[in-house]
Amino acid sequence: MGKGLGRYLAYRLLLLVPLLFGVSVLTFLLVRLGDSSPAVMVAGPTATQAQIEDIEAEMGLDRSLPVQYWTWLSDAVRGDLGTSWMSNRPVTEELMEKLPITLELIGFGVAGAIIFGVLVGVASAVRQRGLVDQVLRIVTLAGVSIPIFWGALLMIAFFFTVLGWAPAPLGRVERGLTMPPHVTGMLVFDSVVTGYFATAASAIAHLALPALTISMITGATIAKQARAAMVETLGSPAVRYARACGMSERGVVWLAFRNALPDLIGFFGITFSLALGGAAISELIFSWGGLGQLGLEAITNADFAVVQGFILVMGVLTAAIYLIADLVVAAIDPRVKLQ
Amino acid sequence: MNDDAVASARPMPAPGTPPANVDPGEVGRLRAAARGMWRFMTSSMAAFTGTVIVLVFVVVGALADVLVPTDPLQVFGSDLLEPPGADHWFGTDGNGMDVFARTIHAIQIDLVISVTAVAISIVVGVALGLIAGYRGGWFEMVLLRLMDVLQAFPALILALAVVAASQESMTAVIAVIAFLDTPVFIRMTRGQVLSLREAMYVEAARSTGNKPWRIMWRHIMPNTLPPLIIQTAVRLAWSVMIVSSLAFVGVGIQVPTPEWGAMIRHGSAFITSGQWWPSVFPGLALMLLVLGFNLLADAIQDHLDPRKD
Amino acid sequence: MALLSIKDLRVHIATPNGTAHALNGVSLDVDEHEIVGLIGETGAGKSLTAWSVLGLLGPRARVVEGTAEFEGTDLVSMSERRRRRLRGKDVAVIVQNPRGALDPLRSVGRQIAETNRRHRGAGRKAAKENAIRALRDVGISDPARRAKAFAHQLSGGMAQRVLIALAMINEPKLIIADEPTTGLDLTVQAQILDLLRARVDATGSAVLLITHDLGVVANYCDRVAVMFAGRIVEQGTIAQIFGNPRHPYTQALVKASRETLDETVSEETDRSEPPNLVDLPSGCHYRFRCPLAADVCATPVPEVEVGGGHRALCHFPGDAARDPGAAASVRAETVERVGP
Repeated sequence: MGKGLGRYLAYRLLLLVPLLFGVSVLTFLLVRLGDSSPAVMVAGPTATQAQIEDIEAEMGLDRSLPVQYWTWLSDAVRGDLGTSWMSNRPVTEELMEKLPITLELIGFGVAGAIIFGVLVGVASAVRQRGLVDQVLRIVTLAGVSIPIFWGALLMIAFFFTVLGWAPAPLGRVERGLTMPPHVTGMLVFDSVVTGYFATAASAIAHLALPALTISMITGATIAKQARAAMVETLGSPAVRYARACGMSERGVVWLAFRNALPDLIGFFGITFSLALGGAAISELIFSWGGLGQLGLEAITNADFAVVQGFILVMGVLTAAIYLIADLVVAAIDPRVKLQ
Repeated sequence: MNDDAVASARPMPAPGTPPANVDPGEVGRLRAAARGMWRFMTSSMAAFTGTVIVLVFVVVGALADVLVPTDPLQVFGSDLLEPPGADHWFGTDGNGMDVFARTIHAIQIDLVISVTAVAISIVVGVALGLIAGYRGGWFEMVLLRLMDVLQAFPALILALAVVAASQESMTAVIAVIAFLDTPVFIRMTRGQVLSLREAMYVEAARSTGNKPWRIMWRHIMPNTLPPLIIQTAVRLAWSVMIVSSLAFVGVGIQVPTPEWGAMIRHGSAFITSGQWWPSVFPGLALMLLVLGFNLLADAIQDHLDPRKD
Repeated sequence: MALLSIKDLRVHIATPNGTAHALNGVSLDVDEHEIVGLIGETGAGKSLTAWSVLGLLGPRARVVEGTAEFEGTDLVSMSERRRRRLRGKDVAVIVQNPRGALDPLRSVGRQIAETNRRHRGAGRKAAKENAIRALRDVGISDPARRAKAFAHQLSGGMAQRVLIALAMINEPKLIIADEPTTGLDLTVQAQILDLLRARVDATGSAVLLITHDLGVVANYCDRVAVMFAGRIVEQGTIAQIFGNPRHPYTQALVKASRETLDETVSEETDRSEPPNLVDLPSGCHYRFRCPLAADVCATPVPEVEVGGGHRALCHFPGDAARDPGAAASVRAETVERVGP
C-alpha cells in the first residue's frame, strides 16, 4: 500500500510541472496585460516621455515579451523576484517575511471553517428535512451570501464598537508589548513556545475576530457542501445495507461521514483557495500586515514586481494545497491509486 | 418534470401586457411557461423567497430613477453622516450623499455588470464546452490544461490584479468576471456532452446523417439546459459578490459612482466610531441580492432533482 | 408455527402525485429450513415486503396495517432497538449490486468481522478468524489474503460471495435475499445460487428469495409466491405453481417463461404497463390486463384455497373459469375476500 501511495505521489508531482509552468506564464502575463506601463508609475506623474523610456529600458520593458518572460523566470527560479519600488526592498524578502503572518491567520480561519462547516453540514444532513435542518440551511445560505469584507465590518461593529470585547482592528498585537524572538514568524506560535505569554494572549485576542470572520464565511460554504455529500452517502446502498446488518444509527452516521470524506477533503482544498482571496481582504480591514495586505496594496499602487511575486506565491500555495488534499484522499480511499 | 423546470426558468412575461403580434401557439407556450414558473415559485419557501427577492431587485433597479428621484450624487452639504431618519431613510454618508438613494441606484450597475458578464460567459463557455466535448482532441486537451492553471489561482486575487492593471475599469470588470465564469460553463457543458454523446438518440441522429452542429443544437443543448440554469443563478450570485469585492478593495468601480462595494469601503472608515449606516445598508442590499440568487439556485436544483430529499 | 409469518401487510408511500398503495394486504409464511421464492414484476412490491419486515422503509413509506411475526414476535410493532439486534443476527440480508453495498473504504474481512463482533460479541482476533473461515466456506480461495481486499477490487460474483459470507457468519435463522443475482453473468448467477442453496442446506437457515426470474424460482425454491400490484396473487409449491397455475397472471408468466423462443405466442404475453399504485382499480388489480376479466372482477377478490396450501387470489381460479359463464361452478373453497 505504501508503495502505491509513493507512486501516486510521484505521478502527482510530475503533473505539477506543467501546472507550475502555466502558473508562471499567467503570473507574468497578467501584469503585462494591463494598459498602464510599470515605468509610468515608477517615473511618477511629472516625468517626461523620454524619462519614461529611459526607465523602460532600464527595467527591460523595451525587449520582446518572450525575452522578458525568460529573464523574469530565470531570476525567479533563483529566488530573485525583483525589487519593490514602494519599499525599495527585494520582493522575495518581503514575501517571505509576510507569508507566515498570513498562513497563521488562514490556518486558524480554515481550521475553524472546517470544524464549523462539518458539524453544521453533518447535523443538517442527519436531521434531513427536520426543523434543525431547515434552520441550519437558512443560516448556511445566509453565510454563503455574505461578502467577507462586509462580514468583517459587522464583526468589528458588533464585537469592538458595541460590545468592546475585541481589541481594535489594528494589527496583530497590542503596541508596546515585547515581541518574541523569530522562530516561524507566526506570532501566536512563536510567543507561546518562547514563553512570551502576555504577547501570546494579546496576539490571540487580535487573531480572534479576523479568524472567526474567515471561519464563519468559508465555513458556510463547507457546511453546504458537507450537507450535500452526507445526504448523498446517507442515501447510498452501502448505508442501507449497513442498517440491514444491524449497524447502530451512530455507526451509520460515521459510515456515511467516512464515505463522504474523500469528496469533502477535495472540497477543503478548493475552500482554502477561496479563503486566500477572502483572507487577503480581511487583512486589509484588520490591518493585519500579512501577504494579503502587501499584495492588495501593491495591486492598488501598481507595484508590479510585488504583484507578480504575490500572485506567484498564491498560485504555488493553491497548487500545493490541492496536491496535499489529493494525497490525503489517496491515503484514505483505496480506490484512488487504481487509476 | 424537466420540461416544467425549463419552462419555469424562462422569464415570466410582465403581467397584464400580452405581447403584441404573437401567434396563438406562442401565447400557449408563454402561458405554459408562466404556469410552470408559478408552479416552481409555489413549490417551496426557498423558490418563493428567491424569486421575489430577485424580481424586486430587477424591478426596483430598472425603475430606480422613478421610484427614488433623489440624485445619488447630490451632496447635502450640512448633513454629513446624518443617522437614518425622516429626511434620509438610510442616513447620509461621509460626503453628505443620501445612502438610501445610493443603495437603490447601485442595483443597476451591479446587476448590469453581473448579467452582462454571465451572459458572455454562457455563450462562450457553452460553445467551447460543446466543441471540446464533441470534437475532443488537442483542442479539448489544451482547454482543460488552461482551466487547470486558472483554477490554481484564487479567483478574486486574479480579478483584482487584472482590473487594477487596466484603465477602462467597467469593461475590465465585465471582461474579467466573464473570463472567470467561463470555465464553469465549459466544464459543465463538456461533461453533459460526454455523457450524452454515446446516448442512443444522439447516435441515431448521427447515423441518419445530421450535421454535427445540428445534433448539438437539437439534441444535446436541451439536456444541458437544467444544469445550465442552476449554474447561471450560482454564477450571478458570485459575480455580484466579485463586482463589489473589487470596488471594496478600490479597483474597478470608483466612488462616487453608487456601487455597494465602493460604498462599503467608504463607509468602513466610520464603523469604529459608531456610524454604521453608510456601510451596513449597502451591505444588506448586496447580501439580499446574492441570497436571492443562491436561493433560486438551490430551489431550482431541488425542483429538478426531488430524489435528493 | 412458521418462522416468519406476514399477515395482511399494507404499506403506503407518499409521492408527489399522491399516496401510492404499494402493499395491499400481503400474507406470506416462511417455515424453517425452506426457501420461498417471491416473484413479480418491477413495482409489484417484492423488495418492499422484505424491507418492511426488516423495518427499513425510509422516510416516505410506512406500514399502515398488518403484522410480520418472526418466531412469534411482531417485527412491525417491535421497537427499533430490538429490531436492530435481530438484523444481521437472526435475520440476515443479501442485496443486489454487492459492490455498492459494501463499505468502499474498509477491507471485506474487516466488515465481516465487525458484524460478527457486533452481534456475537466475538473478540477481535476470534472475529477475524471467523471472517476468514466464512470466506473459505463460500468458496473463496486464499481467504486470508482476500479478506484484505476492498470492494472495488472484487468481481461482482466474488463480492456476492462476500455478502453471503457476511450474512452467514452469525448463523441466521432467516436470510432475505433481494435479487441476489441481478446484474451478474448467467454462469456466475448459477454458481451463486448453488452456493446459497448449499450453505442453507448446511446451516438450516430459511431463505426468502426475491427475484423476477422464474427459472431461478423453479430451480432453487421449495415454495413460491407470485406478487402483483402489492398483493400475493398466488402461492404454492413449485409443482403446484408450475404444473397447475390458477391465476391468469401466473399463467401468463409461466407461459412466457416456457415459450420465450416461440415467436407466435409473444403477442399474447403480458407486456402492458404495471398498474398505477396511486390510483388502483377496485377489486382485482389485474383485471385490465386479464383475458378473463368480467364485471364481478371489480368487486373484492376472494382468496381461494385450491388444495394442499395452493392459494390463488382470483374470481375464476379454475381451468373451467376460462369460460366466464362457468365461474359459478368453481368448487374451490373461498378462504377470505380481499378488499381494495
